[in-house]
Amino acid sequence: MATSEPIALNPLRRGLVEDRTGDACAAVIFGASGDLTRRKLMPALYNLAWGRALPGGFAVVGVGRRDKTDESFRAEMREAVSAFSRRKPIDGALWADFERGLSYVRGAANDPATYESLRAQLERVDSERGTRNNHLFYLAVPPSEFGPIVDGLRASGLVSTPGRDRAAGTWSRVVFEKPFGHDLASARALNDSIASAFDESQVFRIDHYLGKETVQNLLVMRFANLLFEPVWGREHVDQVQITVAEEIGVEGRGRFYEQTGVTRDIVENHLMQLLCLTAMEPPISLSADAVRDEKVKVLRSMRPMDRDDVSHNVVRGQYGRGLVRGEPAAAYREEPDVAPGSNVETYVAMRCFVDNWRWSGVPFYVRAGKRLARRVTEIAVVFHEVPQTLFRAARAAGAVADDGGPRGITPNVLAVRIQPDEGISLRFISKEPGQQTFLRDVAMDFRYGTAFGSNTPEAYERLLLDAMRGEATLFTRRDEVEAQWEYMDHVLEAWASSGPPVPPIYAAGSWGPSEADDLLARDGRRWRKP
Amino acid sequence: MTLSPGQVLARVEGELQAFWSSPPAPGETPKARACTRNLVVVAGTPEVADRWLLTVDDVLQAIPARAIVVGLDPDAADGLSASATAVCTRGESGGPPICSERVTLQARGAACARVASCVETLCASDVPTTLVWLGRVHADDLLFAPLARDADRVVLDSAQGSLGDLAHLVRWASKAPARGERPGVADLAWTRLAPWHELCARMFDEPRLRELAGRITRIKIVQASAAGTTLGAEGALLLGWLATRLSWKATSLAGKLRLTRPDEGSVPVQLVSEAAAPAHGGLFAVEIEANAGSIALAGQVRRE
Repeated sequence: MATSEPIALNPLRRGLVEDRTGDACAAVIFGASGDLTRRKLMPALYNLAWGRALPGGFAVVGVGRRDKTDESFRAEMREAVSAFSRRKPIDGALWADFERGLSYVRGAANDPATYESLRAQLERVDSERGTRNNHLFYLAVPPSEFGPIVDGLRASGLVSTPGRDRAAGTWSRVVFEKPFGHDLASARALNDSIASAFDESQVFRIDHYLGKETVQNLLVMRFANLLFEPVWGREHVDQVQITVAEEIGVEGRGRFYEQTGVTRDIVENHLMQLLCLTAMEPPISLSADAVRDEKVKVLRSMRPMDRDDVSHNVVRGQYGRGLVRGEPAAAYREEPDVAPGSNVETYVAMRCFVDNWRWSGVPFYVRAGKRLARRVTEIAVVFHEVPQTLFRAARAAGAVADDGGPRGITPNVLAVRIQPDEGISLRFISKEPGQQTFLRDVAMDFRYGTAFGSNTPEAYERLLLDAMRGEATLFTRRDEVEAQWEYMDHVLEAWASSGPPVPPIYAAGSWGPSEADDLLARDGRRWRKP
Repeated sequence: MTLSPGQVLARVEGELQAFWSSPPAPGETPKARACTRNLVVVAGTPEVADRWLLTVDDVLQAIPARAIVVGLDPDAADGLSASATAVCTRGESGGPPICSERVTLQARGAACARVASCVETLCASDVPTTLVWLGRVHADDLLFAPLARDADRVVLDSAQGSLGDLAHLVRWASKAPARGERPGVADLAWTRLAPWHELCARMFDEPRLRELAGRITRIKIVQASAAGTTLGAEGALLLGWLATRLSWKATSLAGKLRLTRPDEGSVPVQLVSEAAAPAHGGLFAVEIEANAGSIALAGQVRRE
């Protein structure tokens, strides 16, 4: 019986420092006329080219409804890159080389002719640009178009099976943008539809938070330092607070927000991912499945909420008028494309529990909102108070605890700042210099900008490169997405069953409704003011 | 008035302290000081030290550090002079500028022998130190030995000296007492070869071409140098890398290098000089030919 010989490794790769270059490929962007392509994807690809991370054989085929020539598409993308790239000004020679690989195919997602044109274009690109029949399909389109595009790709034969791909030395992969479904049932239906065309190993579901340096550093901080892991659990941790706060409102996306609200936009994906990375056990390796297995275990350990639990543990809110950065801000209901009587939530705070050995009894307070006092995303691990207070001296004037703990010696807090000013700070108590023993909170600060210089890669750069390389660790797996929805469905169903819920109104520029403060006050705690 | 080394150092320390202790002037943006390592650069002449200032400032943009750039002039009249400056880069997200510190030291005459002591005084504490030595390496050099002993990493450029310097340094580092205290050794000539390594490796990345890596039939190295020049450090390092990765045996016949593949096939090496090429003394191009009967390859990597 003939056996297939394993392909020998390239001996010149042995010992070579890994060059994080993508495989030769053509990236096909559906939604090439859209905001995401202009603001994020094309600048990220240009920055990768600048950093020589793109392979020699590389091309971008934009697909969109609008009528464009290759030249007008290139001009439009140049303008976008000039405006949104972190590398300014644009390098003329580099762009000239980069844009030679850009082309455009006009077509609608549900029109079979689109895929015939795309196939012809990809054949031309593969032969002219050396992209070796490797195709990365990026769906930067509304979720309603996911199904038609997947069907179109499958029907036109543009997707091959992984087994055949491997034998031919080629691949095809697909990247999906969130939102990935609007509840568990729709997420499952979408996953089923995708699974009819793609193997799970070919599917890359983007949660761009996972591409952020600080989020990746969370794993490094936890598992490459002996200092933190022994105190990372119920024995030492009193509570965990995760905040995703934005100053901006819906910014012209009123129609989208009326359909999603902050729960589906932020909580179900970004916030749940941050919680998973905070609570997960050490994976056996950094392989995609090892890391994602551990995250799924966290999601499955989360205590489900029945309707009563939801009313006790979840607070909704909607922003009213107020002042943000000193400027007047309109109420959510006054935003364009928002119903005047809308009850969509722009703020959610929840008290969650991870019922496993490590975290039993430790509350995870999570909140996300728009038009809050400050733009900040952080994970704060608040430790227990010291068991016995040796220091009876009065606290120094102005030394105020901001963690919500009882008065006295404030507990230590380890805060991981995701954005802005990415970094980690550890707060502890110190004696003020002087004759008396006054205690004061001080912080040890690590800031990415000061330790590593500036110009941190954008999340999309990392994620696009990973997708080109087939590295799925920073993408969400099917069971992960479904477990996230399974948990959040309890909340959404409770709200749906209690009739049209009227969220409390909070002033724009505040830290959310007072009900959210009450949520923690019942436990004798307070929200941090990050 | 000539200042003593102690006075010079006290003045520099005062300047460094003044950067951060004085409040910003009205309207001036406050600055954040950052230091993740000491970067000590020692050049054999003041001119070379001056040329390196721009490079050092570039490094400081990416790696906040305290840089100490030393220019030596042993033949001049005795003297030591120094100055300090902040090298700032704009902070992200509208944050304050992030500033490193750069100290320049010029040592003349007998003061050259005191440089190690001066550098030790000026180094920031509790951060690692990288020594960049821009000259010939002698382990018993009065300046090199103490500076290298205190460094966590010693960097040289064998293209500016010779591969013998590199070998000398590696031998010296391996003799350091405790395993954990041995300084790391890096060669800028080797670092510059990274893209050449990557591009040569890419020739054999495609699965159908991989077997050709074991069937290389000819290597041509084009060096940016005058005709008749011997093989420089970059070319020699690249050839050595190919030979070790591909398990070639190196012998010599009548003084000429012979490389033999594991299957006994020989690999002729051709060295060509191109005086007009950029990067004088360095690699300019590499050509590789391979033939496995049914399939053949001819690849070239060329500096633009």
